[in-house]
Amino acid sequence: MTTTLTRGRPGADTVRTRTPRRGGHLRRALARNLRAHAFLIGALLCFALFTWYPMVREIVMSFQKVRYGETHWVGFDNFRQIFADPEFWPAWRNTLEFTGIALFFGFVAPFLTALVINEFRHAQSYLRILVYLPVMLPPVAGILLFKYFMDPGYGLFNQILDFLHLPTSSWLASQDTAMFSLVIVSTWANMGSATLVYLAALQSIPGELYEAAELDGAGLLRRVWHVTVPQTRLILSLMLMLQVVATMQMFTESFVLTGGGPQGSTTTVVYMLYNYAFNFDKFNTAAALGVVLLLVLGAFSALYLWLERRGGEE
Amino acid sequence: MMLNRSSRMAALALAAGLLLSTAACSSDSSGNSNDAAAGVADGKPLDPNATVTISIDCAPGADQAAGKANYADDLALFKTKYPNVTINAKPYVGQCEVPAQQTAQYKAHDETGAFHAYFTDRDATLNSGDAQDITKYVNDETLPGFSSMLPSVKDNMTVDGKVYALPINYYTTGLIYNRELFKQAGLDPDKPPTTWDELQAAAKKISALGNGITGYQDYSGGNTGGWHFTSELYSLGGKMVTDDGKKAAFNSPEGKQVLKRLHDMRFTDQSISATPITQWADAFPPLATGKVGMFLGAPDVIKHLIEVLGADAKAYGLGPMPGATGPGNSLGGGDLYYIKKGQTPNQIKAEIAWINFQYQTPDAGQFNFARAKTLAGSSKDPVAIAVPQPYFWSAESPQIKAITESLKTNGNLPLSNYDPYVKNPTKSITEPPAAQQLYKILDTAMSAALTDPNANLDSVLATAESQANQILANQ
Repeated sequence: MTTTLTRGRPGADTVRTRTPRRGGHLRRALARNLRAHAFLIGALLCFALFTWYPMVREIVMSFQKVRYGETHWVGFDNFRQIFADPEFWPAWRNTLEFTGIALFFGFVAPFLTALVINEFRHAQSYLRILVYLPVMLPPVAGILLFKYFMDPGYGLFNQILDFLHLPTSSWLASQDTAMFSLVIVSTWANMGSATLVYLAALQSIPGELYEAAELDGAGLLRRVWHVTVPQTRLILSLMLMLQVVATMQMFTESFVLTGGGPQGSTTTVVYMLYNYAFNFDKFNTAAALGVVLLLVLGAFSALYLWLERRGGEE
Repeated sequence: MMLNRSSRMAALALAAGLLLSTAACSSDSSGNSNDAAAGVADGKPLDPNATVTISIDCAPGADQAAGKANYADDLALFKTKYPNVTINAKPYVGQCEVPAQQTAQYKAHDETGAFHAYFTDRDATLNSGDAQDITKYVNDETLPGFSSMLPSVKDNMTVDGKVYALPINYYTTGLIYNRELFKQAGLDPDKPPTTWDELQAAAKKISALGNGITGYQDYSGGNTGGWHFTSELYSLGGKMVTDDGKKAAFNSPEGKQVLKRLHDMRFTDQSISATPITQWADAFPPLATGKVGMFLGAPDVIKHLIEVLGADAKAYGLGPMPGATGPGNSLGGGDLYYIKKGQTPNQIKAEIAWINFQYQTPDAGQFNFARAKTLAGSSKDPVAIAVPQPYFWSAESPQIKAITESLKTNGNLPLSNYDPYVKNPTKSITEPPAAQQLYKILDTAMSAALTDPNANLDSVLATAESQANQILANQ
């Protein structure tokens, strides 16, 4: 086989023709981009150690059990145990309920906020900081504030409602309102980042498109629908996928505010996983649940990519 | 195969390196490089001249000024007895042992040489494979009073006749109550309720005081809900598991009674606050600020309220665990130190010697009430000396007699406030198997009783029973 090397090392401006040996070719290819490969190795090592190895280890652990310090292979026992757990399906229902509500608010609220900020001629940077502030707070500290705001007895929210002669709420203390309360907290804590991403996308839309739409007599809503949404479609769909993956792993809010209650109404899949691992001392069962969650989220991501690709082809 | 010169040199260097590292590792793991220094497991106390370094966790931290000062003093005193023993004590702040943190520590095999665990955690601790069998090391010579320890304490130290742990604290649950609120509500602060009916009636009267005051409070999350359910179930004569430990037994008339009473108190009497308490520490601020009339707890809760939260030392009384017709059975609990595997006999002996000195010797360590009294005199921070509890010896033992006497002389708390508890010792029942898991499951039942006005308590308890059976089957 004869190969023509059309890309030489810097300074090698001649085109050479030769029959390379496989090893020599690889060596030269590596040498050509030595610095890039060195950086790549660093990143690969980090991924291998902190992402891929734990994933493989988790999968292996999900088929094992540890008793008195000794590890045994147990086949699908851990999976059978989690599927038979009466909390398993309610935890999925809670997770999906949270994902559904959080997605609606976590998607709409930052997008609307970005639209509004984008309309301001002045003070945009101040508003951006204001919206991003909750993200800068340590999550637990921020979330803990709501424990006091939402206290059914002396909480700020009920005092405000009471002052306005509106009915008060049990917030986190009732299984009817606990999940929605967590969504409020989660939206407040996380919308800053999404708002900035949407704002960046909005600012990349050429102004001429809006001017043209205005000349055609389009009002505000039509301009948003026919210009803004199509122009930010890619970002919107990417953020949708990322938010689904993130909200399905909700843990901190439940852990800090409700402990999975009242009556397990805020026990999500990840909270259940945490319980198995750290409260029940069953790391292997937790690993099995983690594998199930990984498969579900993996399937969702694959579906998203397939739909994206199909949309792109059309 | 012929090796060239450089290959031979490399092989030699590698072999030498391996030998050196093996030697280094064995020296590290044993703590000493020769057998004489490592000592032998001969059932004798530590040689006072032995040179050894040990580590231990759960030393008082920054939030316990008095405890920290006492501990430092004890380390210095111990050094006069064993001048060549170095103790690396790891301090804690808040709760000494958080279950989740402890589980992670077990998985990483990252315990100190002597490591703390609650009675509740025996299964998890042994399951970690890190606990050393110390049967050969413990006797009346190495641990004076060992043979007179209470059977309920010994149960928690031993498995299949082998000793794995040493107790440092033992309690039976009682009723902590605010004497001032009792007076305001027209109740006799020297006669706390001894039955659940009396408790319910007293809670109603205290709540009627208004001003955000609640008669009684209870847990409903963070494993503490199930823990208190167990306590209340035992007090009514109920059982958590069957005698063989294979099935749940709490879905019983007693179990239903526990939930129904709490539900009634919360929604009919309104004598329990609407704010759910889902973490261990969350119960204490309302107690410390005089907003709660009664709460089930161990005597050390009163110490925590005074020393950590600055509550009024005279405000609290301690009564026996209420029961069906009089003081009921009580859930026994406590703290232990396990010894980590892989240490030299001398390290194990030194850890036993320190634990014995610090936690099990009258007039020394935690029982050095005379020293605590002196320190309290000059301390800006509150010091509580000390709420009486069963500790871990029988009432007739010389240890308990000496401690009781010292407390009378040196204590700074109103001991008569605790007479209802001291004079009504209740039968102590140990925690169930898979305790943390069962407690977690029963959090949901407690949460239903305390947060849902329309809760179907029978159904909630039946669900918990089926979950518990599954856990017990997978033990």
